Parts: sequence; C-alpha cells; structure tokens
Amino acid sequence: MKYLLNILFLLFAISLFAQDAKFTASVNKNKVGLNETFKITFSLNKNGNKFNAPSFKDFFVLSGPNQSSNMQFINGNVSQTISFSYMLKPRAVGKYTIGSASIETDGNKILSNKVSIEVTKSKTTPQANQQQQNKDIYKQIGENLFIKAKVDKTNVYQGEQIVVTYKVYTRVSVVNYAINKIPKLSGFWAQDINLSGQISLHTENIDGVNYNTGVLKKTILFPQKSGKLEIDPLAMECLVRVKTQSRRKSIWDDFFDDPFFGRSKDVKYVAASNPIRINVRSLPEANKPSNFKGAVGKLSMKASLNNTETKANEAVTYKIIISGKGNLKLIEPPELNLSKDVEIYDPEIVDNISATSAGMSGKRTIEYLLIPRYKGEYKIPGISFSYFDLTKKDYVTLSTPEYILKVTEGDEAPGTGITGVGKEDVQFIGKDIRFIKTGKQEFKKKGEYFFGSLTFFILLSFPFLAFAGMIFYKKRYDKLSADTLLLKRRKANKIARKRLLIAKKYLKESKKEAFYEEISRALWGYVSDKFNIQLADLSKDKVKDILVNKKVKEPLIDAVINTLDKCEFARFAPGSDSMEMENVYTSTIKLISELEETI
Amino acid sequence: MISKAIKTVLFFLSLSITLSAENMQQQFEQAGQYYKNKKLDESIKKYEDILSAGYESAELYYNLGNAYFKANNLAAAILNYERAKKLFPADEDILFNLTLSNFKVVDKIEPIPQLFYKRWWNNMQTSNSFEGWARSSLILLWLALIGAIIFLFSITINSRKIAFFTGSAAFILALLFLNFAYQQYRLDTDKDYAIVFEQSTYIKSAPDESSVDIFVLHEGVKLEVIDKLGEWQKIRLADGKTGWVPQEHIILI
Repeated sequence: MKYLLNILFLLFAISLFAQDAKFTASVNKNKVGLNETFKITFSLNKNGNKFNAPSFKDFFVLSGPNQSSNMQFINGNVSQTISFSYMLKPRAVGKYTIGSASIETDGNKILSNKVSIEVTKSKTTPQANQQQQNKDIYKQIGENLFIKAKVDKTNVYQGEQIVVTYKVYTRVSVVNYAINKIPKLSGFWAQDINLSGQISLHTENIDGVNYNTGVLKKTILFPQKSGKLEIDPLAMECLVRVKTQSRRKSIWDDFFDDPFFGRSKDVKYVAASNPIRINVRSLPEANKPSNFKGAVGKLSMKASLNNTETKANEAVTYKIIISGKGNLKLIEPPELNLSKDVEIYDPEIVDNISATSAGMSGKRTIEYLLIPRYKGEYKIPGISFSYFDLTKKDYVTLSTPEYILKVTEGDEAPGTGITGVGKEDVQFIGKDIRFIKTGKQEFKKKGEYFFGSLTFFILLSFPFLAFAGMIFYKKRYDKLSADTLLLKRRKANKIARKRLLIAKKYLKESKKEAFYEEISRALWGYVSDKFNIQLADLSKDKVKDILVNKKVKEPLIDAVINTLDKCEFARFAPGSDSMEMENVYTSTIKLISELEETI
Repeated sequence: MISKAIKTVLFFLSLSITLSAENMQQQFEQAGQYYKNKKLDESIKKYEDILSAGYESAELYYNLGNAYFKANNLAAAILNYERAKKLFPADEDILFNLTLSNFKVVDKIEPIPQLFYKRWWNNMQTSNSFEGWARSSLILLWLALIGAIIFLFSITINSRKIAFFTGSAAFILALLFLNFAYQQYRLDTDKDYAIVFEQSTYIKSAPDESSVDIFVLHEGVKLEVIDKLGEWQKIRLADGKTGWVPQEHIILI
C-alpha cells in the first residue's frame, strides 16, 4: 500500500515537472527613444513548436523572427531553451503593449506575458553606467549612420511607376553590412533596378555636414491598388567600428586614439530607413474602355504577319509588339479572335525591358504561331489595346490593322484532320465518282417545263372534258330514245283515230275499197306504233303473239284478228252494203279504245 | 402568199433548231471525249457552252459535275450534281456522286429529324422530278378516261365492273401524282437552295460586315436562301441554323 502511494507521488512529481513549461517575453529595454531599436525575445524552457508572434503593429520589424535554441546538461539534468527574437523600432511616441505570443509544447498551447513599452521622444534616461555608455554609442552612431528612402513621387495613379531609392549616409567606418530586411511592399508590384555590384560612395553635404553616401537599392514600384499605401522600411545590420572612450585623458590618448592601435571596438547597429506613404489614386472610371486591363504609361503597339500568303497546314507568325514606358511586364497577351479553322498556339513572350532610374521601358513582343487548316482567305482581325496615358490623364486605345491571310491548297489533301467520320461515310473512303453519261441526249430549253405548259394543261383537262361530254351525250341519248317511244305510243291512238275519221269519210261516200284500207291501216298502224314494231315486220300471227304477251284478253284478240280478216276479205269481195261497213267502223273504234284501256 | 411565207420561216426555224440540237449532241460527245482524255478544262468549257446556249439536261449537269469534281472544284461539282438531281432525282449515278462529293465537304450538317411518315412521304415525293410526276399523272388520267368510256358504253356487266374499279384507281393515283408534281414544283421553284463557293465563309448575325461571326461554312455546303437584303442573303442550314452571308459567296442551284 505504501509502495503504491510512492508511485502515485512519483507520478505527481513528474506531472509537476511537466507542467513547469515557461514561456516568457522579455525586452532589452522598455523605455526607448523614437529613433532607437530594441529587441524582444520570447523564450521557452522546453522544446516547442507552432510559434505564433503577437502583432507588432506599432513597431517596424527590422529583423526577426530569429530563432535560437540551446541544450544544457547540468548534473545529469537536461535543460533546453528555445527563443525567438525580433528587432523592433517604434513608429511613434507613446505607450504600447506588445501582446502575448503563443507556442505549443507537449500538445499544450502556452501564452507568454505581455510587455509594455514606453516610447519617448528624447533619449532614455540612463539606468546604468554601462548601458549609458552603450546608449551614447548607439546615439552617436545613429547620428552618423542612417538610411534614407526617397521616392520620385508620392501622389500617383494606380499602375503608375514609382522609383524608390534607398541611400545610406554614413560618417562612421562601416566594417561590414548586410541588408537583413527587405521591405515587404504589400500592394505593389516591384522590379529591382540592377545596380552595379559595389556601392559607390559619394560625398554629400547635409546641413553643413559631409556624409559619405551610396545607393543601396533602387526599386521600381507599381501600385496595384488605390488608397494610402506604405513602403515599409529597409533595415541594414552594420558592424560599426567605434573608438572606445578612455577614462583618463592622457597625453597618449591622441596618439593612440587610432583604430590601428585597437582602442576601438566593433558595434552591431541596425540602421532602418524611414517609411514612406504613397497616395495612390484609382484610375478614372469615366471613358474606361472595356478592354482596359491595367496598362499604364506611354505605350505604342505594332502588329505584323510574317507572311500573308501560305499553304494549308503551314505556320505563320503573328507578332504584336507593345513598346514604351510603363508596366510592360504586366501586359497580358491579347486574345486572338480567329476562325476555328486556324489553330492558335500559346503565344511566346519575349521581353526587352530595361529597368532604370528613369523607370521601366522597352518592349514586349508577343508572338503567335498560327496554322490554317484549310485553303481560303482568313481574316486576322485587328487587335485593340487600351492603356491609361499619364501625360494626357486619359485612356488611349491603340489598334492594329486587319490582316488577310491567303491560304492556298496544302500539300496534304484537304479533309485530312477531319475527325468523326460517320459509319455511312466509311463506305465512300477510297471510292471514286461514277463515270459520265454518254449517248443520245434530249436537251430542253432551260426553264421550260412540261408541267405547267399549255400542252400539259390541255392533256390534263381533256380527259375531264371528254368524260363530262360523254356523260352528257349518254344522258341525252337515253332521254331522246325514251322520248320517241313515248311519243309514238301516245300518238298511236291519235293516228288511229285520224285514220278512222278518214274511213268515216269514205263510208259516207260509200267508197268501199278505200274505207276498208283505212280501217286496216288504222289497226295495223296502231299496233305498230304502240309496240314499236316496224309495219313490214307485222303479220297477223305476230300481232297475236304480242297481244298475248301483253296479256290482252282472248275475245279481244280474236276480235282484232277477225276485223283484220274482214277488212282484207271485204276489200276484194264485190258488193257489200253500207250496214256492214257501219258495223266494221264502230267495232274498230270499240276495239282500239278497248286496246288502249288494257295496254 | 402570206401563209406560204410563214411556212418557209417556220421551216427554217425548225431546221435551225434541229441543226443546233445536232450540234449540241456533237459538243456533248466531244466534251465526253475530253473528259476521257483527262482534258478537264476543255471538257468543262464544252459543257458550259451548251448550258450557256440555254439548254440543259440531267446528264449534262451530271457530266459537268464529274468534270468539276475531277478538276478539284468541289463546290461546282456539288452545284451541278444538285441541278442534275433536280431534273432526274431517281438517277442512281447522280445520287452516288452527290453523296460522295458531300462526304468531302468539311462541314457535316445533321438535318433535323422528321417524323417517319413525313419522311416516307417526302422520300416518295422526291423520288421523281415534278416533270416525271406530271407525266405519270397524265398517263394515269388518260387510263382513267379509257376506263370511263368502257364503263359508260359497254353492254356486258363484267367489263363495266373492271373498267369502273381500274378507272377510279387510276384517277385517284393520277390526282396523288399531280399533287406530288405540284409540291415538287413548288419546292424546286419557290425555295431557293444554294451552294457555298468560298473556301470558307463567315456566317454573320446580321447583314453587316462588322456584325458578329456566328459560324464558319466551307465550300460545297448546301443551304437554303430565305431572305435577301442588299448584297446579303439570309440562309438556313439543314440543321436549322440561320445567318447572313455575302451573296457573292454562294451560287443558287
């Protein structure tokens, strides 16, 4: 049990030890002058990662984070320290607090303490003799070694170039130097001007004091956004040789007051330039061309085609040269609007641009490779390109002329390169057209057609007319034939009566022969007309047949035949009386009326 | 006296026509010879001479199309095949060579699909020229007339029956063919089709050089001309796309 407690205690101790991670922030001084620099160090007594610095918004970061770590073994105990340090320079007078930094160790996130800094205008009050001495030295160096940043203009348009020059001024001997912080230049597109190797020093007089000056760095800046932008300072770490001050003034001092004699020491000093504010105006919205893509300066454009005539599938180059002064490197190749039958390759861009103190100038050559695929005339439309002219303070649109590219038949047969041949097309591959037609030809006049011609209409309408005519004819014929029959039948009675009248006349005159003839004619004629039978075809037997057919009663038929017999007989018999003739006459009338009734 | 003069004039006129017809036949055969001997330019010239004299035939257009095809003038070949097809749509050689030439056209235009019965109907209608339909229609009509005569004046019932049915069938068919002839005639004469003659031409959105290019057409494409404005023709493709083209870039079939 006791044993168990011991283990627990041990575990507790270990955990205590583990929690012992300390993350502290410290400064080398918390009262600094405006021109002074100070160092802030964040240190952790363990190994850690994911260091996250607080914001130094009130200070210029001259260098850092500089990371260092060390490990110590003391009496078997391992102690490890990791630290991050920054060189800072105040921006303005006042009291500031630097917030906590954070770091992760053993999976825990630890925060450092906050540090307050007082920035004074004058130099800080000395705290210790040694420090005082150092202060003096720094102050002294600061007065004799500084960097000035200068711009050629502070009020520019977005995209207008600014040349910023960093110049070092020194009256002390600098043993060694290194630019340890290059300005971040957020919001700018920068192009360094190449300076020839060594800094050449000149003498410059400022307020009656001679300084050795040299240009450290020259950069062309193109503001990429509008508003108030800041060019942050450039910091340079110098190793400055300073004389050590002796306490006693002796006669030798002057003599030995010489670097050669080692009465001097090297001091590290970080010199930083002044920040510069640039006021960037946005480009005017009025008259802004739609194809404006941000080019600013003074530019010109040329376009050329190396060949206006070519064969299909052979390349031509189309060159666009934009030259002048301005942000040439930011100019993008224009889009070519060509026929789909011309293949366009990605343009090759060749720059011949020099960045000098006068700014960026030169030319950008954009070369397109065009390959027309088919024979024909292709238009290469003119290109228009807009930029903002700084002298005119307005937009200028440049354009190039249109080119016509004449493409003749290539060596390859046209139609190669066609993809997507349909299934039904395959059967034609390698086939030739069929041979021409020969033989006797029937040529006809152009535009003369049979359809719609007079002949056509005659031939078309004739059958209709003929049909109509035939129908009409047939109708009439039928009607006519029907009419004559009807007429004859209707007339039969009439004619018979007429004949009977004549017969009556003969009876009165007692012309026996004529009388009987008329009577027989009336009878024969009546039957002939009534039944549409020619007289010549009639005989007594036929009449009998017809009458039987017509279902005439037997006694009537017998009477008719009897009368006809009587007439025949009486015509040739001599001597007859009028009584007999009278009887025949009345019986015939009776017969005809009876026949008329039955038929 | 006057009638005699007219007669002689008519005689000489008919003589000159027959002479030139013979002459044309001669030219036609000569052009064929040139074609056989690969003298394409001479062959084309001979054929064109006959055409410029104002005469045409399906075979003439077909042969001229062949000569142009061999001379690598695809657009002219297609134009002449189309003209030949117009005169004789059912000719297999014409259809074969036209299809083969169209295969060489760069642009592949998919026609808008039609309903099947409409397609059948169209196929039937376009299987003959309007002249052909007109002729067959007339033949059937006269057949119907004969049927009518027999029907009206025959005495036997049987022959009248047969005459009635064949006659009315012929009459209905005649009317159908006449309708085909009329439709085809309208299609051929009212609708203007054209062939692109430029190697490639931009079809514009408006009849104006500075308007937007909608698409590109290459030589040999058949298109329908639906409107005209100044020097510009509004065209429609088989797939329904429309646009404007300079009129000198196309030739009407």
